[in-house]
Amino acid sequence: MIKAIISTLCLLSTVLFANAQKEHKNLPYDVSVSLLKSIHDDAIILGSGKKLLYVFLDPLCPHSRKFIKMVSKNPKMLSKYQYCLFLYSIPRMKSSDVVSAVYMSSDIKKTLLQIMVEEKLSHHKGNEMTKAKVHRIDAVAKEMDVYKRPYIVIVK
Amino acid sequence: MRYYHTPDVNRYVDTIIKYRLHIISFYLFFVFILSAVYTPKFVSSDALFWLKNSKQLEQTQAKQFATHHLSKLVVQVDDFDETTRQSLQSLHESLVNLEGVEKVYSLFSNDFIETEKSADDSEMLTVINAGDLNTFALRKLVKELHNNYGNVADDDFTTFYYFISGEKFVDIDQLQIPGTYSYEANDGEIDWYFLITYILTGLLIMLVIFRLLFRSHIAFFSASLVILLSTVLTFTLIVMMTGIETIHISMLFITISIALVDFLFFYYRWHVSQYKVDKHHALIKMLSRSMQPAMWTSILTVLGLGSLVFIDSDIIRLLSLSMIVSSVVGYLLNLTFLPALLSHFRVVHAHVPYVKLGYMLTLREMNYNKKFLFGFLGVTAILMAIGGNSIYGENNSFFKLNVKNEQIELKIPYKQIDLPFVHSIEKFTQALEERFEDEIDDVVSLSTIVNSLNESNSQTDELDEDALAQALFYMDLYGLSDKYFDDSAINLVINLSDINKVELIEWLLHYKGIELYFIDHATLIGSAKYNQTVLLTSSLFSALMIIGLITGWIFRSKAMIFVGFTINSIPLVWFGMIVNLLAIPLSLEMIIAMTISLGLASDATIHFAFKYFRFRYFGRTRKHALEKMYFYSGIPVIIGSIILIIVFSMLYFTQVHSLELIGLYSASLILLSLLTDLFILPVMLLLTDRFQKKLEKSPSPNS
Repeated sequence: MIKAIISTLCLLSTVLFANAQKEHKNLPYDVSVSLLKSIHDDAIILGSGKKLLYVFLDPLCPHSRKFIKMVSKNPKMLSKYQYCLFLYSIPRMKSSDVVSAVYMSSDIKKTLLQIMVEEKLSHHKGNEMTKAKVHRIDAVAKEMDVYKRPYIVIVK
Repeated sequence: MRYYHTPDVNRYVDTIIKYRLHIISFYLFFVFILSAVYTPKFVSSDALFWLKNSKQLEQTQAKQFATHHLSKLVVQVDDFDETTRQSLQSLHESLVNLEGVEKVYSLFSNDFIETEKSADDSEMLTVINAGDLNTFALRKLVKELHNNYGNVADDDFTTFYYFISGEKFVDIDQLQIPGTYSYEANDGEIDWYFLITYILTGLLIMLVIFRLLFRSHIAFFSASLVILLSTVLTFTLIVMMTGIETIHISMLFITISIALVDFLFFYYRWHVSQYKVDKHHALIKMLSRSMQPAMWTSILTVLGLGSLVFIDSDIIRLLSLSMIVSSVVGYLLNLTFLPALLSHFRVVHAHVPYVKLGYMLTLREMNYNKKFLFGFLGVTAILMAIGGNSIYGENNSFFKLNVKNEQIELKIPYKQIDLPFVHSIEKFTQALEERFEDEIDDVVSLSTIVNSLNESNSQTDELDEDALAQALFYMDLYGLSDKYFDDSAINLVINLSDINKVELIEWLLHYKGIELYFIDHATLIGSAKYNQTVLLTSSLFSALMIIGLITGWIFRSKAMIFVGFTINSIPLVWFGMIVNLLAIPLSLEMIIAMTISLGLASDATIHFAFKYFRFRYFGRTRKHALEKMYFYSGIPVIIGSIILIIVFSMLYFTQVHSLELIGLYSASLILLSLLTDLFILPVMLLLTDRFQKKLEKSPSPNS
């Protein structure tokens, strides 16, 4: 009986919390951009357009993959925009080794596209340099409350 | 030359008879040469004529925006299952791939926006095309959106609408279309097979009527030749004089009508004269009695409509020239070609039994009721005043164009797509929706898609510069940008539910918030029609005034100014009231019908008055003068009008929209003109008869 009550309460609370909208921190645009610029050198650059976009991605996230596939296969999107891609793992995806593999590769962009577009996975434990890079990106992402992937910021 | 003069035409008739073969040969040769050198091109669509005078088109072209035809394909299916959905989607794709098609707006071109989530931290704004959904999902989605897509699919998914934008009307014969469909295409090309069949049928009707009335083939033979020569000469001369080669097919009917009625006044006199005199004297009678009133009718047409030739509008110029040239050419043919031709023939049965109709009408009208006459004229004057107010008043409410489930496409130029620009479009949309409420379905524009994208984007809240940039980025990502804007302007589509389009066009033209341009031909034509409404109406009104003044001058009577103006106005005013009540839109066809009516009514006024006053001048009683008037002028008008009413009524069954309208309007207006000529004109002549007053003043010889 007690088990049943506890299970019901658990279910109810799950449903209630699942429907509750999360409030996201919305940093002012200037603050966000200045934070992003501070890690600009850690970005993987894709495209050559005039418009600059900062995008947080997880290499194993299905929507991030869809995004990269759409962009990388569209010449117009590559010529109009320049994408500064930050690899920011979703914990559930357990993609840390894949992120490290990208950063450890000799051709970062090519490896990223192989993983995300062609779905050819690589894994690597990484080193201090990659960990520092991941750490810097994580810090900015947390500060900006990057709650989803892909997360896009367009520079005016 | 006053109406009581009888010109001496004996020598003239002798000369005509002497050179009759030369005259006939000359006309045939002249017509052949002119038709070979100045061949006009006839079209059945009036779009070209309206667009030529469209200020909005000039502005659109100055901005270098391409204009296009917008047509609608309506497909009806029994059941919307997966197979049907696939067929309908394939149809959409086939239409898009047709040559000359720019875009197709249908259920399968619609994009639904939603946020796709696969886990808490993985989500992306997604645009789904309706074509990618299965039948169940599509039904569900459209119903969830409260049938926002009612303009492309009806509630029970059995009727589907495809709005096709292209350089021209598309040829859908080769497409596989499920169910049944309807597609209205009019590219302005004439169906010559149909036209020839129609002409032959018209000729057959004329042959039968003339045979029954005159018991002779001469009437049909000579009428056909005079009409043919008059029509060819009129249009070749117009091409020669103006250089305008493209002529609306309906203008043929103006020349045919004018030529037929003018011919009948001459021929009828020649025919009935042979009851008492020989064929030579019948020719003399024909010319001496008919040449004067016919000359005045031509002068009336030239002066009444002459000023319109100088108006900078191809429609008005062509209309007035068709009337003027056909009237003058018809007159010359009746003076030269017709006597030369008729001199070869003799009528055996000159007696016409149906003249009794004239006696019957005379008896009735001799005892007319003044109260009824003034009452009728008063109502006509009130209708004219109401019509004038609705045309010249602040809001032009006379001309309506009711449409159901159609579209209007606009271009709105921009320097930069920024927040103020998007807000200006939003403000425009809001004002439009507030003003027309249920009359419009929705407005599809950059602002609607930007707002939809922003609402579904969890990363942004209110529409600010950042949110706009995100929305524009997603539009690029999903390939929507080209659909909504180009380098210099955005596209805005207004889906119309059930609306008076003229009112909407007027509202759009006066909207100050944004600079907008019409790009679909239907709207440009609607706008041009609206702009020329007042000009066309004023042209007809000024023609009426001039006709009234000249009629007064011909008979040296102020009262005849009133008669001339009123008799010609009555059919137009009552016709205007009927079409206004039925909410029929203004069209070139209507103006042509009004012009034909004006031409016939003015001819009848002069011929009737000429005969009546001539007989009165020579001392005949009012009753006798009226009987003679009916005999010599009334009968030709009745015959001519009946033939024209039958021929024009037949046009209503042709399935060619433009000709259907000309048929309907012309038949109605000619009937109104005939009724006016038979019942009002004689009574007004009796009312304004100054000979009666003179007789009343002068003492009776017996007293």
